[in-house]
Amino acid sequence: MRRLLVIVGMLVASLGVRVGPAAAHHVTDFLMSTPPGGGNELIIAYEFDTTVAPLAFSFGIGTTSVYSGTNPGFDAADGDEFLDGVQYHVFPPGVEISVELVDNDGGRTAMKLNGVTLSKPGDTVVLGTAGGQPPGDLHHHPEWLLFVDGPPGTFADGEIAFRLTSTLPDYTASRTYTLKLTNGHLPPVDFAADTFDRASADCQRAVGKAVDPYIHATYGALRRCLDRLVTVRAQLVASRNVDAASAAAGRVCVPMVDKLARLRTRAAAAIEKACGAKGSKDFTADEISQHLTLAQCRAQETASASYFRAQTYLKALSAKGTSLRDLFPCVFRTSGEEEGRS
Amino acid sequence: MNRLIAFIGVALLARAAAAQPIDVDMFIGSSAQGSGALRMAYDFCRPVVVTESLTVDGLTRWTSTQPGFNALAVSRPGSIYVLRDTTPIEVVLRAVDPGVTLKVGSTVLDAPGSMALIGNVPDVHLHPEWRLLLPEGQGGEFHLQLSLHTGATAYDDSPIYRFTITTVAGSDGCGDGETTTTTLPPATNDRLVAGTTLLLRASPSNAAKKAMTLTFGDAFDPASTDPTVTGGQLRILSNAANSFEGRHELPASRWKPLRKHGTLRGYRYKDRRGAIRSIVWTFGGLVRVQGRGAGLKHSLAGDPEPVDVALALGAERACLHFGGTVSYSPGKSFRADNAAPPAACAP
Repeated sequence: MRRLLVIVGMLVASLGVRVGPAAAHHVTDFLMSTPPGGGNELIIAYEFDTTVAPLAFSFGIGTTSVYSGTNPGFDAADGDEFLDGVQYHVFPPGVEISVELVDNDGGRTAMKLNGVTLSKPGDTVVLGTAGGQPPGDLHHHPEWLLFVDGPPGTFADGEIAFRLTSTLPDYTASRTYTLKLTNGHLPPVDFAADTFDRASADCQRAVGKAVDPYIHATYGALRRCLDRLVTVRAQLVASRNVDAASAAAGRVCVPMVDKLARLRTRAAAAIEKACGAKGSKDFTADEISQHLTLAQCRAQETASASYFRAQTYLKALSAKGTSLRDLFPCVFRTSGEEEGRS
Repeated sequence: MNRLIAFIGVALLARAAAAQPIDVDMFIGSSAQGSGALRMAYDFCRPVVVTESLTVDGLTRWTSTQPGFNALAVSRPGSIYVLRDTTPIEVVLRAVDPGVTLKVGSTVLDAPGSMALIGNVPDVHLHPEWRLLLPEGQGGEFHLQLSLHTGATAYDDSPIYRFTITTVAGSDGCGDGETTTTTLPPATNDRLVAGTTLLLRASPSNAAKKAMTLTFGDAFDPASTDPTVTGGQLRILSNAANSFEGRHELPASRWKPLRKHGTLRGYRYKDRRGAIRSIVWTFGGLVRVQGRGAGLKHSLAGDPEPVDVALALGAERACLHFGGTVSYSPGKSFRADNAAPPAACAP
């Protein structure tokens, strides 16, 4: 009798899985479950550290550009779900899952989910119920939103942090997960199917070819400038006269602004030629611009990581009335670095 | 004991019978194994319920991300079949009410003929943003029509699917009962046109060597026809023993005006990757269409005469019927010159 009930229970459980929404999970989505090794904490299986959510321009509000995207979405394990060889647990029917916004990067990011916009920490929305039929199920794609100060084509990235909660005492809230949102990643090229698509392949190659020297030039110019400014700093510390060193730094640092602007124009033109309206039509001018700024930003970040006080050094110089610190906005200030004279 | 088993058995059977799995997303497949037309499995009676996002300057944005597009993972024999790997899938906007747009990745579809890549099978999983822009305080029910297109030669375009976009949760998306339609948007102004030349070429051993050239006198009204806004469709049809039918979308984004000294002289269509490579429409002159590649659907294994052609641009459609003076080389070429206007457009 007991064995029979166990078998019946297994049958019911397996049937419960089958009658759920068809073909639920997709590897590109968040896989919600509980720890494969046991435990009642809600978890999300997803490579948060190495995956970004690419967003595209949606609309403008005054001087703010709003970027949006719908990937990744939320989904639950559906019974035969393996990820990296691990089988994830299925939520029993009736388990309700909610999403709570934990941090939205100072108001720069938000998500709209199930008709509710989560725009400040603590905002919560019910995602759905395990075993529910659409739209009450657990497979939903939010609108990930990024608010950018500037016109379309302005690069920006941001982060959004959230956690899962459940009303059932059987489950504890998940840890906080942080997703990176960006408009700097290019969309996929659209390869033709009926013939070898040389134009799109050339476009993709042109992007790599144009970005490569631009990154090197940005890093190189910034490095040479910072080297000069480090010399000024060293002489200051030694109470030496720094006039000559400062003048030398100015001669190296100020012209790099125009030089990098020219290189950027050249890189954008090369990509536009291969990928824009007269090329493969894979990317818009705004997408190219955002991507080049991303490349420039990463080069600035890397250079500044090598030079403690890099931002403070740059603040001391200006080109055409604008501080170099403002012209290189992705140069980071290291925590502990004092503001002030270089 | 036996009563208990019987009870559980009945309960299980009843539950299995009652539970009809619902497609979470629109699952994309084809009407036949490895061929046929693209199609989607989804309950199109379910409306797309948009919710309020933001109100700025007296305009309210309504959005939804459900349903999404998804590649079918398992064939449903007799209904819909899994597509071949790497098949690219594009979504084409066929008709749309004012205020409705569809954002697919980085592309906003806002005019008939606009299209965007969803993905390549099996990597097709994309939730578009269904968007509605209305004056503040207004709501209601709106519609848009979509079809699927692929550059892969194995598959034809899908039927047109009609969606209801509503601001009211719980409304019935089927409305008057219509769920999908397989007819192209009607051209309201048919023009029966004499054909100058139709040349079809083929190679029995290499489908990529197919080619087509079509020439006829200008039949469109430039005052009411702007393919940069409406896009168009080209249909080539033979009902001979070796029948074929090719339908080709001509998206608005690929049309450009032809100007000389600032004066509009016609329109040019260009798609280096599509089956229809170029169309030049010169006002008062000729319309010249050139196609190439395996995306062309004609077959010259048998004599295709007569061949009907229809080029629709916006609300106008030029219909031609090539028969009579023809030359046919089996498997290689078909040429028809100076065709008289047809009595009616081919159904």
